[in-house]
Amino acid sequence: MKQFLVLITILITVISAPLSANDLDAVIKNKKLRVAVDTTYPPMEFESNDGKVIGLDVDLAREIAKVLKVDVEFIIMPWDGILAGLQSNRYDVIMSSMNITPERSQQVNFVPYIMMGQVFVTKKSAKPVKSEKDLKGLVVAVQADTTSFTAVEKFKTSGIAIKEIKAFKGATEPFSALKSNQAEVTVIDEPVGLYYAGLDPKTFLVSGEAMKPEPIGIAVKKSDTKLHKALMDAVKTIKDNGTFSRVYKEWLKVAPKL
Amino acid sequence: MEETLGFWAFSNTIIIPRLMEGMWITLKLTVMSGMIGFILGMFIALMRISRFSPLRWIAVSYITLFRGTPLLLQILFIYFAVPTLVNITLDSFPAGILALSLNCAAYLAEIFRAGILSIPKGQTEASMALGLNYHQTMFKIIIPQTYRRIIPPVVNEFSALTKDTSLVSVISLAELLYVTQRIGAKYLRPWETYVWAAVGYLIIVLLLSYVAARLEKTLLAKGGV
Repeated sequence: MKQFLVLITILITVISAPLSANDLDAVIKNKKLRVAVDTTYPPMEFESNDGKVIGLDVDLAREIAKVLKVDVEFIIMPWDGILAGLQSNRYDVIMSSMNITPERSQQVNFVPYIMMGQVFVTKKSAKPVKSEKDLKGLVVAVQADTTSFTAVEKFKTSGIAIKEIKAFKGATEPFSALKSNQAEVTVIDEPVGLYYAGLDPKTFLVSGEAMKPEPIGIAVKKSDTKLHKALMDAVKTIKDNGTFSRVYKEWLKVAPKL
Repeated sequence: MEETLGFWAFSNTIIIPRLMEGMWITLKLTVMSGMIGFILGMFIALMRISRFSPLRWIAVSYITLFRGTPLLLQILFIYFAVPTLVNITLDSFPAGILALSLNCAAYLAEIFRAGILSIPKGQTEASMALGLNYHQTMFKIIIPQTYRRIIPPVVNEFSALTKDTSLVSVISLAELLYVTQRIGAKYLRPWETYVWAAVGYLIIVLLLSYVAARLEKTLLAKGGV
């Protein structure tokens, strides 16, 4: 019995050990920055027709890696497991349109790099939702565990009589839900809302602003302080040398407000 | 804040109360789709062995379709695709029940058919010889004898169904796994949350096995075959 326990302890140690060493040194040594993205979020991060990971975040991550003189590897993670995956060291950073919130900041450090607002998207045939007050009596679809989700929950607790909040796993499902009349409105990051409305202008309409622009950040583990510092510097570098503005304009067609 | 809570404090104040809500939905999904699937499965099994070939043909196509495509696809289809085809929009819960019932009926139908075929042909012949018609033979002689034989495979199917209910989390139905993932993502304490979810599913399946064992005993005492 005792031997068995010892064996189990050794096994657990052996299995968990290689997962812990990290930080900037490991990134430099492996010459690779592992970036997690949830590719259901065009035009920020999504898949091209031939299955390649593309998008604004993706190109920015490449530029940042160039500054750090390392390669970049994209790891596709579903949104609901993306923070847990960072904690269990499956990748070095998350760069997937993640809003910087107080709750998330308790768990990870952020490198802010973009400002993004949230919009309401409705079906073109329905009554447009211009402000949160118009949500009264409506079924709202959002992606679970996102800033949009928190915002809608806050609207509800603040007294707006939302009929129901449906929270889906992917970012694309709320749009499918709108299309199949399972919901009447969704709240989503502005570029994504504009992207879908542009993709299917007969069905979708960006009908109003849900949230003022807020900072989006690259999530880094709390313990990776050196990597955090290096990324801060790298973001500053690409903003100073104009790379950031160029890439931003390529994807969103407008100049960034720095 | 929550990070400082110990295992038991975290479990008692946050995980268990929320998981209980999810477990209740899971239980409702399992029992309701199990019952609907049972009745529907019985009809399909009878159609499958019917002497009237169109009925047989319908049953075979039904089983092929629902056994040959992923349940996840069936759930997504009923929830997202059906409303765009015809003007029927089912909410998450009824859509989940419908998909699970239709799916488990296909499997149960084959279990019932196997049960019926396992009764020797001589019994049908003897019953017919005694002047009973086809329906009397089926419902009074053959089917009652299959009850005890099909309990183990039916319980098997119901345990699978219990776990399959987790698939409806994709249509934003707050069953056990959905709630688990929400808590896991919010508090970033995966192992505690997942362990309790596992306990939740185990409780449901154990309950089911217990009921089945009792039923089997009762049928044996009554002199079942």
